[in-house]
Amino acid sequence: MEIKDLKILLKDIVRELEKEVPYASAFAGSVTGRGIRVGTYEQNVSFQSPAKGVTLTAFTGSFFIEQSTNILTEESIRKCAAELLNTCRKEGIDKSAGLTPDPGEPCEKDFYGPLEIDPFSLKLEDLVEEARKKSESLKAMNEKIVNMMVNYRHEYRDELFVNRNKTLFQRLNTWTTVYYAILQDKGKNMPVYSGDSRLGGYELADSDPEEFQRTLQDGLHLLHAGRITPGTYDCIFSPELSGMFAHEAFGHGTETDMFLKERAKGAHYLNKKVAATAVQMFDNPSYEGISGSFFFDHEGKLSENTQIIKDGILVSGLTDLNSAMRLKMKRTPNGRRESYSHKAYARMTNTYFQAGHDTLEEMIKDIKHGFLVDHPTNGMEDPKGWGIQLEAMYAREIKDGKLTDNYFTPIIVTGYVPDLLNSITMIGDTLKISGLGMCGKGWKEWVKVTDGGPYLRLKARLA
Amino acid sequence: MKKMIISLLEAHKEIGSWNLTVNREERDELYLIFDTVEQKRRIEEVLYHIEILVHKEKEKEGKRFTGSSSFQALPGESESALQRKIDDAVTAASLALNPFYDYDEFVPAKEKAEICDPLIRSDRARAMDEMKEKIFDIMKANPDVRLASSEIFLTCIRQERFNSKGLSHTSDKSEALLEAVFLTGEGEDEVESVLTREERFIKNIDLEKVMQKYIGFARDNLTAKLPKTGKYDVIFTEEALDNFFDFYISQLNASMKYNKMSVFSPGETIADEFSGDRLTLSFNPHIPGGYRSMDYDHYGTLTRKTEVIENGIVKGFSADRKYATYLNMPCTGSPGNTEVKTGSRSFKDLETEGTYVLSRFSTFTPNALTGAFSGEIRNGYVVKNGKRVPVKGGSVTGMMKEAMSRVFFSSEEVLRRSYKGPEYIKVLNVDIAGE
Repeated sequence: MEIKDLKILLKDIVRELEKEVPYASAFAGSVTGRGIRVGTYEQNVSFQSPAKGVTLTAFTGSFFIEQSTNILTEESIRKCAAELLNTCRKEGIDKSAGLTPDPGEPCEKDFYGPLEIDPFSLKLEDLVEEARKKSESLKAMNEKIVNMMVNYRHEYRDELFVNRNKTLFQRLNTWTTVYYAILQDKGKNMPVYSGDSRLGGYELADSDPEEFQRTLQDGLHLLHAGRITPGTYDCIFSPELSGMFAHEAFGHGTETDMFLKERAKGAHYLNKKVAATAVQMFDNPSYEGISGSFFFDHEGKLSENTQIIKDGILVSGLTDLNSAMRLKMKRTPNGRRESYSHKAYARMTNTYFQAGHDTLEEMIKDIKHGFLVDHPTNGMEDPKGWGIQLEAMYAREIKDGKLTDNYFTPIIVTGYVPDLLNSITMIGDTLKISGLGMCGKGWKEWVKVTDGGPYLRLKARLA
Repeated sequence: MKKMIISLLEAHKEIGSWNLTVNREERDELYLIFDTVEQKRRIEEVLYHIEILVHKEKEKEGKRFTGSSSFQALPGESESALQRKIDDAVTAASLALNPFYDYDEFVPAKEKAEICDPLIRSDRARAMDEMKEKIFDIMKANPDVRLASSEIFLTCIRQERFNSKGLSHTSDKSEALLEAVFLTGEGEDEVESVLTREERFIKNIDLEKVMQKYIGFARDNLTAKLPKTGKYDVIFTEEALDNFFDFYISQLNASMKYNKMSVFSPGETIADEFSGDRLTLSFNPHIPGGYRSMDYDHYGTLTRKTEVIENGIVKGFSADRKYATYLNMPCTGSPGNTEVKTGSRSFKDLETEGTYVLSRFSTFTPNALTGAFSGEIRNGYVVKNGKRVPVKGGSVTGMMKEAMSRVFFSSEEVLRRSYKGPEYIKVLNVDIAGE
């Protein structure tokens, strides 16, 4: 049974459940896709794990109970509903408890993401051959590349959300291209990669070759680069690193399920200054074409832009249904699941600092000694302590207003988030959003996100 | 459905070999915010994982090639839908040919990996209640600390394995996941510590001991200060152990060697010089309760313990059937749990004046290709005038090759997840960035 075909059945099940429980909903999801990986020594074509199933949700008046199955027959789904209702009865249903999840405004709609060339309409052998030629041509760029891997991945996700007011369906196509090279010299490895992931199809297959060239040149500098002397420096964060900073520093810290758990310092700073006045930050799942975007979240809230920081002031959190209900906050479209079989949490989507007015040249020219830090690889949140950890591939030294050829690798940025945010003195004039990232809640619950920003000039501790 | 799948696979003329794994998973999840239930969940899932191998002979080159492709089938899929999936997989495999390899002939397992908690298998509801009650009892005994949130996931998976070489094997495995967040302090000075443990057996989580430890970490964070910047001796323990040897686990996997991503060869030393203990590292797929314990690997090869580093010298690689064929090296099956030989010094001997003992990091995952490691310090202490002074913040950085040249392993041993080895690993002269 296809996900879209479940509308009537799930609507009926929700109606039946709500004869006894104050609120019920259903979410069904599936993924269909292929991955092509061609490297110098081996190649592979794989099919995306379908992650296809249904989750039924009931609110007892006190808490939520969910039951999931991947056996998509009417008999099995109704059995799942019956078991869910039994569990609710055992736990106790109390409609007078005073808590009511907001079902939202009535809406019945199907949404389709952008798609110009459907990859499934293309011959697989042509895609494989294209990847092979690309791998060969990129490897030829430098003799130090010992393995050149070209990865193409395309998928479409079907998602259906049903509650008493809503029947929403979306199909989101995503194309991902990654060029991944291993440089090797005198017994040392240096991996480099570039690429992007966006909503759309084969029309997105060609990743910017100049970007790979730049990445390759950086990698060659890094092969024998040393470690930086730990210290606090004048820094310029690249747009990609600024994006990760936005995500880790204030994205996670404003997920309001953390407010419920008293795990977010941000809860005490709503409507207070947390950053330099010029700083504006957003979370926006309605941003067209980028891979963290969607039409509705997994709890039925339609997409819209949320401003998190306005003129340096923290103005909003990112909610899921449960935390919005309990905290009596305005809902935002941030209730997201890793897949149908996972719980929905308050999660980011596309999170970014807005661009300002300064050019990179202006930022560099009055730095006596500092670093341009680029190519983020990993980050971790600390919403309670407002600590930050960002890892980047390299820092490039700036001396007397000029970029030098001194590179240091790898780099870890640590510090106290308000100190970093308040030290921002210049904000670049161009926004760039990177598409390759995933986000975990701690070490699980992985969802697709993007993050971005302009160049940022600030002070940071590097090691 | 599995009979239908096997029948379709066996009938397909272009399939040289095939592998079918059927996973029936049942999972119960409990989510608490403080002492109130936020959500309860139950998941039941059946999945069929299929891998097929297509063997081709290219007459011109006089060589044989193999293409592989894998996909999943869902319960209730029709025969025609399955046939389409198989046909697509054969097409895909035929387009991505690599040098020839095939699965091993089936060999019955003499040992059986113990990887299923009997209570998770028989009565997850009771196991969940017992864990919850124990957690609440421990919290009652620590009134200055609050349990902000906890998540308990208990999973039982029945796995059936079949392949074209005669493999027919059934096993049960369990997963017990606990995530708990502890808060202590007042107002804006309130601090937390976050516990995440995932084991096959509930008893391996050792609830009482691990919760007291993390409650202690939360209390330490009330007074913890930034470490001083400089080079210090550092003892890595607790969470740092989970990924500490990732560099060697990756580099000594034959797939990395084949793809020219490994810088090691047998007979080479892992460091230029040694001023401490020398690493002996094995992969052991037969540790009871080990997270990577298994009877057969993904290709159906019978697994065995493999020593890859002995006294600081590379002995060999772990190699599944594919890469063992490509590199003409012994087939060991996929690597299992990481087992590291303990040292002769106790923790008391290692915990000297001025040493940092670091337990928790934001992340600590040495780079699989370069050996570089770094991590923001979330919990630790420094021994100052004989006292343990808590530290937090700042970072530790280094390179595994240098670390292994001046390392000491404790005599105390621990099993956590897929690591069995020294509970404390002391590395001399490590860079710390802080104050």
